Amino acid sequence: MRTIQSLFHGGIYLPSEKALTLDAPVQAIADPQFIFIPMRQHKGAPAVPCVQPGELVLQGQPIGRADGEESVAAHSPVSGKVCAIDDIRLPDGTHSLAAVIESDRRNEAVEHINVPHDPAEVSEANFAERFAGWGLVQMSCRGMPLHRRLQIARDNQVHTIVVNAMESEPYLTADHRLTVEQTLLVALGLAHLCRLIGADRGIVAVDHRRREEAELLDRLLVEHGEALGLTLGAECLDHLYPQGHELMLLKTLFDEEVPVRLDDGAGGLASDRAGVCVLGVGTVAAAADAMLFNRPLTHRVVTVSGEAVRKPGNFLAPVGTRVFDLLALCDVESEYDRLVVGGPMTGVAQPDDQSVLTKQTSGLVLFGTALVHQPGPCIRCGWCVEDCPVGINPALLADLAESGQWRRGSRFHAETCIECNICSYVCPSRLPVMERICKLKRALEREEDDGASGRVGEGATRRT
Amino acid sequence: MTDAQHIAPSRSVARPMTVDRPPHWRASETASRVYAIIIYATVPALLAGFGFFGFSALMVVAVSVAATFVFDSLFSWLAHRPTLALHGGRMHTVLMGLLLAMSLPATVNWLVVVLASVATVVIGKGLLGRYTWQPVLLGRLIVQVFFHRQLSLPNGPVLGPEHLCLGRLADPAIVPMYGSWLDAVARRADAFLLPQPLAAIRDLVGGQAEWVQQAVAQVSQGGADVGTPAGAVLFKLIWAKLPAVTDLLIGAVPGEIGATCSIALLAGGLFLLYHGYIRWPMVLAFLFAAAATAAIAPLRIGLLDGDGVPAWRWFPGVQFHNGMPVGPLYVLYHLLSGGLLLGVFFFAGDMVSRPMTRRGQILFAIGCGAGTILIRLYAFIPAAPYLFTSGATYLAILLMNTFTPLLDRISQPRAFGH
Repeated sequence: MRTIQSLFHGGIYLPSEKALTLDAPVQAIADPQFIFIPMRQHKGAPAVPCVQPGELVLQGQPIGRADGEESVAAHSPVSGKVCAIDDIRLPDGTHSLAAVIESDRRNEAVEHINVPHDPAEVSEANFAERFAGWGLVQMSCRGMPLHRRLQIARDNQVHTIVVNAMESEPYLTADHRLTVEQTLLVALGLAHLCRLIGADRGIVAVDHRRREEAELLDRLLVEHGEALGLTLGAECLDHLYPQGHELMLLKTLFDEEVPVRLDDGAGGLASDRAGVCVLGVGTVAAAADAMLFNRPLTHRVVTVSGEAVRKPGNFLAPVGTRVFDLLALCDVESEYDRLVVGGPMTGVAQPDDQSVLTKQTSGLVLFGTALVHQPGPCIRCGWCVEDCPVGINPALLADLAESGQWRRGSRFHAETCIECNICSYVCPSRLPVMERICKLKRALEREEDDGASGRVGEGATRRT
Repeated sequence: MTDAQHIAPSRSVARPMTVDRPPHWRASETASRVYAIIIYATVPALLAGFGFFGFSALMVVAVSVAATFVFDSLFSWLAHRPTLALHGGRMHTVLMGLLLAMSLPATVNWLVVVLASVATVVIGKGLLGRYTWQPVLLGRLIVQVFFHRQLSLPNGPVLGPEHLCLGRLADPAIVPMYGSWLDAVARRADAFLLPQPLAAIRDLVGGQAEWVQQAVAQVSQGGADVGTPAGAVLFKLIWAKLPAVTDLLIGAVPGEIGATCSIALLAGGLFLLYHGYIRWPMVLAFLFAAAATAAIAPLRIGLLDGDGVPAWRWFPGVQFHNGMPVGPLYVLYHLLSGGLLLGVFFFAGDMVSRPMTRRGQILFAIGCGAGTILIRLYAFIPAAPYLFTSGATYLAILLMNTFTPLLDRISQPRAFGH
């Protein structure tokens, strides 16, 4: 299988650091004693709790029901007793209601789940309701409810689904392990999702360093695609960061450039305008799991890695597991400096280890040593311009943001920024370049909204 | 309704964790490392300078670095300029001191060096430490205007081959006919006085110099080659007035401390290219623009006209004389002398004052290269005829620095999807 070279300009090869956990099989963890299931693990309205403290619940039982169209249900990953409905902090820094469940460690499941289920029963007409009922959301950082994502794709007459198995962030291997161990699930998931939105083509984009994985996947995809009359396949792509971003996938696979608009949020939905819908491999596997085994989304694969972890690994953990419960399994150095949820390029550093895993948590990376971040003046080396995958001048935009010249930002295409963070990574003066560009984008967004309701502080919080 | 029962204490951390913003790791390059590596890149040229100009060169470098460092610290403190304390600030100051010394001849008075450092720090780096014009070049330009007799001479001393590093530069022996540095004549003297290569080239534009008129008159009377004396005149220039190309390569010609040794400058430049601090397109654009301009720009090497002044001839770079490529050689002399390579790698390549985008850098370099040759040949002040024999590269770069913000604006890369 041939490696497809990246077609976008710029980009960098990051140190991969994946060898730590690349060959570590996914290990299902024993249920922790307490599990906190957040009601909001997606964009849109949070689920509404439908259990009371003191109530006994079974594994897979809904404990929050979807609140309207833009919402999905939440399920208990364990059997046990509901202790409380409490407010907790999520890894991205926002707060959400969560059901606290004390596990009885018996793992009794609800009756009809975990049994073979006919995927044909899920059809174009009822998938929204079914997917919301299974709690399916995008398991990448954006976290839109999967049925909403598919509806938007259908409305845009998307003809191709691209499954993103690139995993371009260093350290993380959760998607890789999932693809290796659940290859058939990914292939079937892609086939059925194509069927649901009327796409006739499906491509899984795999890092070219995982060629064997891609070849196996390709065989299965071709086989199952033919049965359903779909053109499915896998492709090997170069690992130039940020090849895993959806717009860069679009560029490399189809040589199409879609201009990003401010309301796309770092290019989230821009690919739809080119007739392509990009989904994460975890999302597709979870959808397949749900359609084939009637299994709600209650667990996910998480990589725990980093220089401060003595026993790194990939774990199948219940959603809602607290971070320190997971770290306890990995022999973490007690004096680590930083705990990052997500990868080192775009992940979120945690103030403590009390937050919980959500459906979007792909990994925990722990760094042992402090990083000196004191920024100096820009020395105009021009590396951010050279490496920017979307061809903007990050240093110039950061300057405009600092001097408050927001309106000029749109003339230099600030909205095109996909927040890949290369500019901050390469900056020899350690300037928070991308952060400043984001500030500029938020200011432009506010301006577009005409400041009608004076929502000044709102843009400052990170998008989830 | 927090239930204390299910909130377990954090097990792991004794000291508070660092909450940083993404990215949570960084590339290993830092500003101070960048400047340190540029300083390493100046070392070969500085060593060559010590070799050919001896102890005086060492003094100029020491005074320049010390003065720049002291005045920058003082001025930063007075102006409350924060940049010095931040990473890379001190390295940058040292680099500026070294570059200043490299762009001054070894014979210069040490007070001039101090004045140049003050100008570099106060006027060049200014109040904010963010500059448009390369501060060293600005400082040098200021002292050049006031002390052009020290900085721009038609000839200068070089140590003899047997007196490298240790010889005395003062009282150089005068060499009547220029051969090559390794000539037996030169061996005996501690130091000897040589003509600046560019001073001779300038004479070709002035047309008044005796040797030019003689050469043209001789060729004009030769009969057979009457229509094209240009090649013959260039041959005379290269044969009798210019040092051997090997001298230019090893740096045994009069000039600034760090600007004469082409091999050392190329080594430093390749080092910078390897590290990616300057990029090939910019270097090639500079050299190509300079070569093309030198090859095209007219010289007074044609037939004598009524006033006894030789006529202009275009395209000196394509002239041949008896099968010898004198035109291309003339272009090569332009590229290897007068600090052009120092300008390419260390002054035009200065990160702060060059454009950031690649296209901008290419345009910038073309302007610098063409400007260098045009200033060398045609910028002429009767009071100081050799003012620009060596300062032309620096002046051209300064002029192009002015356009850096403009070039940055007009050479934006194409944004994704636009």
